[in-house]
Amino acid sequence: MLLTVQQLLMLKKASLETLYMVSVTTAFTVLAGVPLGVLLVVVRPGHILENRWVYRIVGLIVNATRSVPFPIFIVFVIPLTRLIVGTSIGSTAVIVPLTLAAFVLMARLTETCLLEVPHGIIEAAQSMGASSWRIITRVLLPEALPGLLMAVTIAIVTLISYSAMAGMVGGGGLGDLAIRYGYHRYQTDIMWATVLILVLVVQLVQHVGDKLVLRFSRR
Amino acid sequence: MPLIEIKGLRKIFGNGMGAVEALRGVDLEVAEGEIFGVVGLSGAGKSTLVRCINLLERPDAGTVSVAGRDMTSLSGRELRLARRSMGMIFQSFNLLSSRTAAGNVSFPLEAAGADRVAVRTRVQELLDLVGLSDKAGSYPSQLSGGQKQRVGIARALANDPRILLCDEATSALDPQTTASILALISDIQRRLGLTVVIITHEMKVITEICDRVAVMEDGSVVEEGPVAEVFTRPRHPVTRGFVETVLKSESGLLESGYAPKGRLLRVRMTGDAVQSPITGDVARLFGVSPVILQAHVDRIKETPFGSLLLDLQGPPDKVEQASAWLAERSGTMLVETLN
Repeated sequence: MLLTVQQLLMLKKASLETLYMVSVTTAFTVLAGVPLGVLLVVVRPGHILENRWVYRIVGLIVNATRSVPFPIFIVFVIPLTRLIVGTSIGSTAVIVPLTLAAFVLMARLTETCLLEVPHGIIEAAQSMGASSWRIITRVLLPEALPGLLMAVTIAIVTLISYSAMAGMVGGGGLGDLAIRYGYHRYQTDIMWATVLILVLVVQLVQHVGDKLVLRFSRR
Repeated sequence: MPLIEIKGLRKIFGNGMGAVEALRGVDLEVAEGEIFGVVGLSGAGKSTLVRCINLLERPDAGTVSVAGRDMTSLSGRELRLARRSMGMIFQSFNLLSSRTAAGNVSFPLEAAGADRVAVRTRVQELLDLVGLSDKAGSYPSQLSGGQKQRVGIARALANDPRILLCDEATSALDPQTTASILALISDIQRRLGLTVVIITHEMKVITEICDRVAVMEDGSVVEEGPVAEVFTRPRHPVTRGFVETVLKSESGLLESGYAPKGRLLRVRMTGDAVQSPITGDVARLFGVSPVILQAHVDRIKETPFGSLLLDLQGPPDKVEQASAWLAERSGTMLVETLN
């Protein structure tokens, strides 16, 4: 299987688009998802900032967001995308629905990680007169760091897969290339090439993630 | 004035049909500088009680005052400050797995806002105090149970507390390690003049280092007093049960079919009386023959303690005189006829 120079250039362009969408979205996802996950944990009944109403309402919004299948979600948030980016098509426009869909996933993953921190450790910190902010920043997050790194890895892999649907609104990327050329134009070699690149990228992300988790695991 | 004063403390977990009353009106006073033990079976409410002292658990009724201040009335900030004057250690150690031994000890100092240089010297001092200066850079997963509890103790002492609360602090440790941790607690208590509250289900812990003890059952204190007294003259069945865990019970002996030929006597003594030759004395003075079925010598904190189970054989009037003589001796805490 040999690819033409033109095909290689298309692959390069699509790869860069995917890289752009995934990296920017990952940054937003972590920045918004981790704090939301922390909120979901600390307002739980019996936790340090217990608040039944906040817990219920935020939980409801997160669940509602996660219920919508991603292709529908892209269309559904078009008005918001226009408001933020100014247009609803292109790689940058796709970042809005991608972030919205992924940060709630990140929030749930963060929640799961933080709930793994033994309650006794939190109580010990309380018994030493630590404030809630200190417990969050110096106890919960550092203790859950290996799990959080694993969660970020999962989020990145999910984002790579979601970004394949960016083609729906002209966002480009590897997934779009595979469908347009590999499927609609029967250029199977292009499809094989994109699949190969995606497999390699996911392997690499997972490998780096695993290494980092191991590096910070102390249990 | 007692340092810790607990009045009418009640705590209910859950609500409706599933509600459990963990504390049913507990009154306790802990004096400054003493080691106070609370013993009870699991579910007796002892852990809830100690957690109410630093308000990890908020009581539903009653008051907890520490050094004359009502803990339940403090604001969030005041409570955090008050908690710094009370260290706490736990059964499961509760160390931060992401920090080294030194990092764990520095946590409460950072929370109290100490500067970096002060933290470093204080951490070194504290690790020296608990005999772990060579493990400063080790993570909890690299330490043994006893070493983890030593880190826990150093951490609890970081902000110079007046009170040390121990919630089943030795329950996860083997007997040798338990003994060394108790010796350490006792030693720092004396050196720093701490007031210590120890929660345990092991009577051995109480007799080893406590001055006074409260026995809890089903959310209430059923017996309270100086350890030697409660230990030698247990009144409540639960207390008897705990005493028997340390002192082998005579009931087993009787159940195994031993038929006493004379009067079966249980004698308990403390202090110098432990060393006096009472069996020889009764034989010589009254012409009776004491058969020793069981003998046990131990100590309660620093006081020697002895327990004897005698089958006192001889003419009934002589046996009567001999047991009366035994009961009147100084240092004899208890002479009880079992048959």
